[in-house]
Order: sequence, then structure tokens, then C-alpha cells
Amino acid sequence: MADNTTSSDLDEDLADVAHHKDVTFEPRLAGVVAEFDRPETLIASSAAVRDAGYTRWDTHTPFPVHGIDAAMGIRRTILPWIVLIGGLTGTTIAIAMQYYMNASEDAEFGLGWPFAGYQYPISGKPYWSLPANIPIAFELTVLLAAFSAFFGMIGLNRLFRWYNPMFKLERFRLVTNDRFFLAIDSGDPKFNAQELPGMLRSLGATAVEECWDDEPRRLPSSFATVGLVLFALALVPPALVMRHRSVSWDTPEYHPVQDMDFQMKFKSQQRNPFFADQRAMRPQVEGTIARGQMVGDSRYYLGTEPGQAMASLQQPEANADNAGAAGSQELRATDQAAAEAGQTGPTPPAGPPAAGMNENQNWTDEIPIAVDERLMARGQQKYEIYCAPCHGLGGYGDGLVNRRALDLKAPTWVPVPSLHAPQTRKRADGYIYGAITQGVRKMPAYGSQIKPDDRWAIVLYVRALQRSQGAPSEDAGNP
Amino acid sequence: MTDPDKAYNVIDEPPGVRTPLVTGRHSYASLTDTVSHVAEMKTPLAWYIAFAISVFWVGVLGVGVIYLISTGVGIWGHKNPVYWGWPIVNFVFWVGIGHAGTLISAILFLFRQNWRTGINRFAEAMTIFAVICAALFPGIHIGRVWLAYWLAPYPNQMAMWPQFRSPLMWDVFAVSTYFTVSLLFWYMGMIPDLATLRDRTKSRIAGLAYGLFSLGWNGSSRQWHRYEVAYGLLAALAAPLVLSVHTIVSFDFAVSQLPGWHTTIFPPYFVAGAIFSGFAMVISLAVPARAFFGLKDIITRRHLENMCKVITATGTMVGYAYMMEFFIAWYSGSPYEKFAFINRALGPYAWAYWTMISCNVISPQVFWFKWARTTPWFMFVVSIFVNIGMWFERFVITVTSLSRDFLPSSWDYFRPTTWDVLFLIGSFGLFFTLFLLFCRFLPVVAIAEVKGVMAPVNPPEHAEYRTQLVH
Amino acid sequence: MHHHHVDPASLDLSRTVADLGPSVNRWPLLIGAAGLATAIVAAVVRAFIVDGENSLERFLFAYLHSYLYFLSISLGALFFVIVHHLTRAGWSVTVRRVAEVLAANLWPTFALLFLPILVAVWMRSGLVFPWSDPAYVADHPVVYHKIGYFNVPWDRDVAFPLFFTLRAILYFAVWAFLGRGFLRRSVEQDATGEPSISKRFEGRSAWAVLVVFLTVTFASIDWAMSLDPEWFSTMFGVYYIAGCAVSFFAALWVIVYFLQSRGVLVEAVTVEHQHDIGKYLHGFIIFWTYIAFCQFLLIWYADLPEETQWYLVRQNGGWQWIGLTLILCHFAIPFFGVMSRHVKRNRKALLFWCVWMLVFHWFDIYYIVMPQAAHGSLPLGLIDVATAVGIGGIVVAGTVRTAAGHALVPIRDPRLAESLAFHNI
Repeated sequence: MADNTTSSDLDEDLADVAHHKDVTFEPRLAGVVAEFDRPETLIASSAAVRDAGYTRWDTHTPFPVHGIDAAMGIRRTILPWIVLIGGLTGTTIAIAMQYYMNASEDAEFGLGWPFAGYQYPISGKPYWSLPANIPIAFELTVLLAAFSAFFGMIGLNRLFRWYNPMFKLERFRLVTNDRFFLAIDSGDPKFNAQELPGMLRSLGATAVEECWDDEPRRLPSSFATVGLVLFALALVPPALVMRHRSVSWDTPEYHPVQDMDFQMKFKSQQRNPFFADQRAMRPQVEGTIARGQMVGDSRYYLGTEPGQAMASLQQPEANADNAGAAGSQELRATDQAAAEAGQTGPTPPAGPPAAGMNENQNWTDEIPIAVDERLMARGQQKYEIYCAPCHGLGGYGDGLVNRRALDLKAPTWVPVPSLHAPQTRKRADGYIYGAITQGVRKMPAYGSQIKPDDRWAIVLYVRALQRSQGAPSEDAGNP
Repeated sequence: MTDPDKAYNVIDEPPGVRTPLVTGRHSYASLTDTVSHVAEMKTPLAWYIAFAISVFWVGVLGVGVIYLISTGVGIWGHKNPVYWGWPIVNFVFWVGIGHAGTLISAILFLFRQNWRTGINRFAEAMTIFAVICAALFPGIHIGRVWLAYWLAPYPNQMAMWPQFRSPLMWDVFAVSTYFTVSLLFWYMGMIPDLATLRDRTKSRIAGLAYGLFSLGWNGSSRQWHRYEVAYGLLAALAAPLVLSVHTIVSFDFAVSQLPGWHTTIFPPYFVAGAIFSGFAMVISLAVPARAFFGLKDIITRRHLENMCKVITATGTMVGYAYMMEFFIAWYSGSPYEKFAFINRALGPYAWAYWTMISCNVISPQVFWFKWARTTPWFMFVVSIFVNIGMWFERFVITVTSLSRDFLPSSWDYFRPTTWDVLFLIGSFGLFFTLFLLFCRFLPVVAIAEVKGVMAPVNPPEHAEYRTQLVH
Repeated sequence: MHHHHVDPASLDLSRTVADLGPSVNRWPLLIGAAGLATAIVAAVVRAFIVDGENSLERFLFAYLHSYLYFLSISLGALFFVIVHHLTRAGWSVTVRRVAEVLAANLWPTFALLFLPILVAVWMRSGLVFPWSDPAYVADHPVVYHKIGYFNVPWDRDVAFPLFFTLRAILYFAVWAFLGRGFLRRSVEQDATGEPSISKRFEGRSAWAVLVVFLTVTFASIDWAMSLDPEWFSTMFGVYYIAGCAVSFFAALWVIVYFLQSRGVLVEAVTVEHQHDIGKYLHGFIIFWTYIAFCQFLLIWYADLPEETQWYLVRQNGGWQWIGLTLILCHFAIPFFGVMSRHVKRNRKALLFWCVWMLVFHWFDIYYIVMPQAAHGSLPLGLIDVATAVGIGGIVVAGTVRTAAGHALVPIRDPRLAESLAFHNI
């Protein structure tokens, strides 16, 4: 009844719950309840009851009556401290979470999934961007502090107890309307059911009643039944999930979310009735050149001297596309000037492309575009973007990728050779160009990513690098 | 019965005298009775009609959501370069409206503005319903709605975590925190009043429901002590929270580099705008509700007048922000900034801009006149204008800046589709459905709080209430 | 809340500054003059020992810094008086006279103290304000674009700070009219007890708050933001105003504490008023942080060169330590320090935090102003402290003079009884 529950009270509760249901419950006197019609009278009476030495009692009012805390001698609650701790916990969790999830790396903790952070660069911000983490830190601080305030109040006020013997008193219903009550618990050491009513009346109570607790303190049996049924039902969904995860099915899975998995489009080998030849995959249109196939000037595009058959720089699929009807068209489209100069355009090879670089091909030994400072700068920039990750900034084959692969001891990794090795230094310019274009050994082809001008710029820069690392003595005097 | 608006002069308070917050000759019991009556009376026909209309629009919204999810966001008017169209406008609009409730409960509480007790309950309810409407829009705007849970930080087999440097992520945390804390605040405030309804009802089902949610509240002074401390703490937490929410919503725009979006005054300017629109919505709801439910003694003209003053103050703050934006756009010397603002006022969306200025800056200035701020029907009309203006403010910010981006070849004029309009109306349907349910079943005024600030007449005058109740 | 009825007539509330003894009339002015003299001597000495330093400019920067600092306290007081009337506040009546005196001191003290700054601008040599130098403007197209705002609006090529000067006159006219007006009428009420004066205040405060907000905004743009003429932030005015509120509430309790220690305001200002001053101080510490953080976050995040350079200067060359100091000492430490109810209700504890905030608010203005004097170095020395003491002394002397002859409580305000009986929940 009164809020200041003691441990003996709780023991009593537990004992009551344990009662067998056949045992009839003996009503007991819970306390004495006095009604007042004005808050001022209640405050004065509270002071009197407090001064009389009662310890287990409370007042009940329809709204917070100010001044009653002092009259009753209620101490200030510890709730603010709970809230402070809750708030600081929220801040800590938020900062730690954001650091861990966005700024830490897997390796940092060595824990792996599901304890791995994930670094991703966003709009040039550092992974650990404190200003950007403040909003969420603030929100979680408030959230946890608010939970602490709310649930702290519920807990300290024992608001999870729906039952109170006073609710049986018809009169007590007015406690949420316009009446004020003072209740003295029968557990109070000074409790005396005979004398109290007179005393309370003399303080100004308009009515005094005894409050009897006649409710057995145990749950109705229907609660247990309903609870069990609900618990059993709650097990059904997880059980179904478990079964679906462990059993193989012949039928395809149910596909509620399409995610564009099935699209109305033609795939390359399908039949398309729209065209006369019914091929979904279309040959090249007459009089056009596909991207990357403009190879009229073989020095410029391929790095070889004109007049010699050469390895293809086309992908196998592209060859298939161009086989047959389209093949002959390309010749006509070659550069007019080149044709006038008597050069023969490249013939698309019919077979599969040559694997790797042909060292004996007639590689050109000059850079076919104007060499100037700008080209050198461009070459450096492109080299550092595309080549340096493996070949290293100095060309010694000590790029980050190579170093990391060697660290990991990847069995299939072919170490990157130094560009300063004697055989590499001796290579023709065209050979290096060709290697960039088609790839060599494990090095992939960059022809589709880097424009010819830029490839030549890289060749120029590689030459400069080689020169810088083994400069002949006469260079010293010639700035 | 005389109209309380005319019977009591609550407007001309001489300095040094505080006029009562509850007019009429109310005792604690008659106040309890007046408020509880709203939840206990036989459902009026008008309620059914209003509810039917609202639910119809919820149905339209539901159909719209299904169509949207099965088809894609292309059903809206989004197209290059405006990929944030009405949904974001509606989101900011509703979140803004959702600021008045917690502001009234928290900030006015901290400033000891006791008049808030008459209106805080349903302003808080309005907050929660508005935030629900708001949260709907980004939820369905993300395209693949079924992946919305990816926003939550949970360990997963993709080893992907949310990106906490994104203002949209901050939004998720801010709006959900705001919703949760507002709900707790609202519910906590309601516990004693639910106990009141519990103690009055004669229906077994209602008694069980009210009893369950009032958590065995018995009005103990020890409970009240902790309750009040908790209430004060929640207020102190909710006050900066209110500011933070619209601040973070403004970050969605302001951290970008788009002229018209990126400006440092956005956070306080958005907060002022939110309070402005929220109070307008409270007036739009309070004026009819107090007349319909007979609450004119509790929500007096003084309450309405104070709200009008808040509207003028915040409307003027919004005007200050508009002015600062314009001034700094010129002062910055940046041609892009200058263009963005000239384009707002004189470009293809000038009609929207001037609607916004008329409704937001000019219309609230009528409240400088006492007649305007003490005449309920008139302030109701003005509050509707303010709501319209604030919707247009978000439209102007979103659409004018996006439709004229840095690449003139992509400039285009944004046109909404029918679905855009239906979603907006549907969200109003959802809002009013929830609000009508609230009016029907819950205590619409914070009974216990009003009792704490009223000066009651002697109880014996209302003895008949008591005999009837105690039976 | 419950009201103990207190009859104002039973209390002795009519004490004035005269009751503080003769020293308050003499010492502040002497200290102020000594401070400024020390600063000038220090500047002259520096001119001989530090190579390449413009010691006049160094002095003027220190002067502007401390001027804006003390100005913020008085402007905060003006806001307080206006908002008090606007909201028909009850609790704050007993401390309102102190605020009224601080606000009335805007005229003539602060107007006179502004003259050196105005002269510096008129010299057109780029001292302190780079835009005042025509050569600088010619080199900076963005500044040339906006120079009409400072000089002559209709002709950007005329190098005279006409518009800047006119605006300064307007600001002081508004502040003088309102600050002096509120004090004069309020003192009039002391004699007549006329309630209609309170009513009139209420009406006037509605437009006054708007006018003061605008004038303070533009004053902060003119006098602080334009130190870096290329930089701009729409939030700047609000940032300065947030600082005004922090420094005012801190100063208010320091003043009340001092007055009470001399036997004035003892009955009028109770622990309940003190508690509220503490709450406002705490609240505005948070608000200042909110504004400062939002301004920083938006500029840091968008990272546009024309905006971010302002913070770039403040994150290098030692300034980052001042920034960190502000985060810790203008927010984090006092946030927890003033949070507790016990601190706010303890006279000495609150005094400690108010003095603390006044010190670190000085550093806040320092962080706004001084990096423009010295990119990449941290000038902090005798000259700054002496200037602060100098201007502070003169401001205190002006305040005492403004307060002379008036009761330090509005003794016949209709809400005085309510304020005396005020009790926190």
C-alpha cells in the first residue's frame, strides 16, 4: 500500500503467490484510509502524522500538491543521477559505435565478422570525423537519458504493480478526481486500528475507513494458460525458419522481391524475331568503326611498324562480333591519309588472339606523338594512377599491391619485375606501349582504360624513369 | 448557457494580476467531469462522419503505397534534376508540425508558462501523429522499401555498417529518437489522467484498458514526487531534442554545396519555422475542438492569444532568416548564391516564393492587432494560411534549388503527378484518423496538470457529481 | 508553485549605488585609465622591440576585441529587459534594474568607446578592417563587389566609409533610445507606481526585440565579421547574440553577488532568483554551443574554399588550442559544472562559474577577432589584458554613473510582490 516497500513485504508477496489455489485467502487489514476535501488540510495532517512518528504511510492526491513533500519528509529522489548515468552511457555507446563501425578496420581488432568495422571514404572526410558524429551522439544521449527517466520513474514508483487493496474502496476512486487521502499501513509499528480513526478525524478528515485486503495474491489460472499458448505460438515462426534453412527444396524459392532480377531484354545468344536474321546480337553497322578499333596508324595505335601482321588487341568476344560480314568493312574505314601513304590497314585476325606479347614483332622504337614537357607531366600523372600501385613510384616493382601480395604469400602471384632490369631497358618503345595495351603475363590489358595518347605519355615517363635511375655521366653537365 | 469567450474577460490582464487559467466556476470535480466527458460521451454523429472521411483517405494512401512499392518511385513527379520532390517536402512539413507539442510540453514547462497545461496534451498527441506522417515519406521514398532495415546498425553477412557521416543517417536517429521520447513524454503525462478515466468508467472493457495503461497509479505523493522530477528531466531532455531534430533535418540540405541549401543559418531557421508551423496546426485544431467538445473554459482566449503571439514571433524569425539569406547571398559575392536567390524571387517558381512570403511573413503580422489574436475564427483562417505557407517554404527550398543546378542543360520545371497530390492528402487523412481516435478515447486535456494551476471554487457546490460517482 | 506573500513595503529595497561607499565612484575610472595607458605604452614599446609589427594596429585589435566583449554584456542586458517585458515575466523583476542600468550604459559610454574604431576606419589605411584600404579593395574583386555596403552604396569607387558610419550611428541611436528609455520610464514608475508604464513596456518590447535583433546582427557583421571581408556566414549575428546572453547572465550574478556583499539587494534577490539565473546561464551555454557547432559543422562539411578559410586560419598556428579551449571551457566543463541544482543554489559556486564564463567568453571574442590580426601566431600578452582592464574599468565607471540616484530594484513595479514571493518548483 504505502510505497516504501520493505523486503519482508516482498517475501510475503512471494509466499502468497505460492499458495495453493484451494487454500481460501484470509482477508487482512491493510491499513486505515482517511479522506480530506482540501489540500491544505492534508498538508497540515501530514505534518502531524509525521511528527507523531509514523513511518509507513502515504498521502494520495489528484495532482501534485506542493509543500506536501516537506510536510511528509520525502527525500529528494535519486532519479537525476540515474538519468545522468543513462545519458553518459548513450554518449559513450554512440561515439564507440561510430568509431568502430566507420573508422576502425577489421584488422585493428582482429575479430572478423560480425565484429568487423567498415571503412569507406565519404566526400573526402576522414574515417574518424568527430563533427559528423556529434548529431548521433547527441540523439543517443537523449534517448538513453529519456529511457532512464521514464523507466527509472516507473521502477522507483513500482508502477508495474497494478493492484492495490485501496482500489477496492469506492471512496478511493475520487483520488483521481477531487479528494485527498492519507493512508496508514497496518505494517507501521505504531499502527492501532482502534485509535487511528479518531486521531485522523480530529485532524480534519471528512471520512475514515479501514482497508481490507481480501484478494489472494496469485495470478488467475487463465493467465498461465494464455501465457503458455502464446509462448507455444511464438515458437512456430522460428521453427518454420529453422526448417526452411535446413531442408533442400525441389521447387524454386518464392521470389517476392524482384530487385530487377527478371528483365525484359534480349541476351546475346537469344533469338530476336524482329530482325530478318533473327539474331539478338547485332553485327556492326556498315560504315562505322567500333570503339577502340580505329587502328589505321599502326605506330600510334599498336606500337608496331606498319606493314606487318600483328597480334590482336581485341577481345575474343569482339572478334566473334566482327567475324564475317563486318570484317571487311573495317578496311574501308581506315584512315584515308594512311591509305594514301600506302599503308595497309590491319587485318582482323580470324583465330584466337595471341597469348602474351610477341617479342619478335616489329615494335616501333619511337614515340609517334610530339614529346614535350606537358606530355611528360601527363605521363607521370597517369603512371602514378595506373602503374605505380604495382610497379611502384620509382618503377622498381615495389608498389603497394605487390608488397601486400608478397606479404600474403599469394601462391599464384607473379612478382612484378623492375622496370630498370636490363632486358626491360632494352625494350623498344612500341613494346612497352603494346604491353600496356594488351597486358603481359599477369598484368592485365589497359587498352580499354587508357587512351593512346596517355599510353604514349606513360611510355615517355617510363623512359624518363629508366634514364633517371642509370643516368650516364654526360647527363650531369647537361641540364 | 453563455459563451465563455464572451462571459469572461481574460484578455485585459492588468500588470501585477494574473488572470485565472481556467475560467468559469470550476471545481476540481467539474473540471474532471468536463474533460472526461469528451472520452465518455456517446460518440457524436459528426465524429463518425469526420472519421469516415479520414479513413477513406488513409485507404487512398494505402493503395498509393502499394502501387508505389510494386511500381517504383517513378509514379511521383521526380525527374532530372529534381530528385527530391514532394515526399521530402511533405516529410519536412510534417516533422515541422510535430515540433509544437514537445515544445509546449518541454520548453514552455521550463519557462514556467502554466498556460501550456490547457493545450499540451493534444499538442503532444498531434506531435506524435505528425511524426508518424513524416516518417512515412522517407520510408517509402527509399525505393526498395523492404531494405529499409539496412539503416539499422546490425551485424550482417555483408559486413556493411551504416554510414554515419551522412545527414540522412542522422535523420534516422533524430526522428526515431524524437518519436520515442515524445511518445514517452506523452504517455507519462497521461498516466494520472488514464487513472482518472479508470476510476470513473463503468464499462468493464474500458476499465481493463484504462487500468492496464494507468499502471496501477494511485496518486501517492511519493509517486508524484518522482513523477514530477522525471517530468522535469524529460522536459530538460526534450527541449534540446526538439531543437536537434529540425536542426538535423536542415542538415539534410545545408551540408550540401547547393546554393540555397548551404547556408549556416539553416538550423535555427528551420527550428523557428517548425515551431511556427506547429503552433499554427495547434490553433487549427484547438479552435474547432474547444468549441465542439465544450472546452472553452480550459482552452481560453488567453491561451489562443498567447499562441498567436508565438506565431508572430516565430514567423518574424523566419522572416529574419529569409532576409539574412538574401543579404548574405549578395554580400558573399558568389554568383551562384546570388542567382539562386534571384531565381527564387523572380524565376519560374516566383509564384511559390511569393505564396510563401505572403503566408509566412506577412499573414502572421495581423496578430499585432489585438482583435486578430483574440478572435478564434479569424486566427483559425490565419493558421491555415501559415500551414500553407510552411508547406510552400519546404517546396521552395527543395525545388527551386534543385531545378536550377550547376548544369544549365539539365534545368527543368518540376511538375507533380496526381499521385504526389494523393499522397499528401492521404497523409492528412492518416493524421486526422489518429487524431480523431485520440479525441474519442483518451483524456484530451492534462486534467491533473490543470488542477495544479487552477484556483477551484468550493467543492460542496458540486456535491451532486460526487454522489453520482460514488453511487 | 506556491507563493509566500511578501509585502514589498516591509523591505528596504530603495538602496542605490551611493550605499556602496565612495570607492565605486573613483576606482573604476582610475583603473580604466591606468589600463588603457598601460596598453598604449606597451604598444609603443613593442613598436621599438618587435620588427615589422604595426603596433597601432596591434593595439586597435586588442581594443576592438575587448570592446566587443564588454558590448556583448550590455547588449545581453538590453535583450533581457525587452524579453522580460515581452513575456510579462514575474520572477525577474528584482534583478531587472541591474539589467536596465547595464543597457542604459550603451549610451553614452559605449558610443564614446566606439570612436577610436571609427577613426581607424576613417583613416582608410586598412588598419584592423582591411576593406578600409582602397588598395586592398582594388586587389580583391569579391570585396570590391560589396564595398558599397561599407563605403558609398551608389558609387563603389568612392573610398569613404559613409554607410558604415551611418549604420553605427543608427545602432547607437536605437540602443540609446531603448536602453535609456527603459531605464527612464522604469525609474519614473519608482516614483509614481503607475501600472500603465508596465503596460506600455509590454507593447514597446514587441517591436523593440525585432529592432534590437536586427541592429545587433548588423553590428556584429560590420564590426566583427567584416574583419575578414571575404568571409560570410548567415548565422554570425545569432552567434554573437548567443554570446551576449551567456555573458550577460554570468555578469548579472557577479554584479548581484557584489552588491549583496555590500548590503544591497540582499532581501530582494533570493536563492530562487539565483537558481533561475543559473538555469539561464546553463541554457545559454548550451545554446551558444549549438550555434557555434552548427556554424562550424556546415562550413566544415561543405568545405567550400570561400567559407572554410575562416576556420582554416583558426585551426593552425596555435589557434587550434584556442578552439579546443573554447570547446572545453566554454562548453564541456561549465556544462557539467553548472548542471547540478546544488551548484546553481550555492552563492559562491555559481559565482565561480560566472567568473569562469566571463573569462572564457573573452576568449570567444578573442577567437573571432584576433586571428585576423595574426594568421599563424597567437598574440596574447600584456597589451590584451591591459586593454581589457582599461575598457572594463571605463564601462564599470559608466555603469555606476548611470545607476546613480536610482534604487537598484524597481520598487513599485506591479509584479514586484510576485517576484519577491517567487519560488522554484
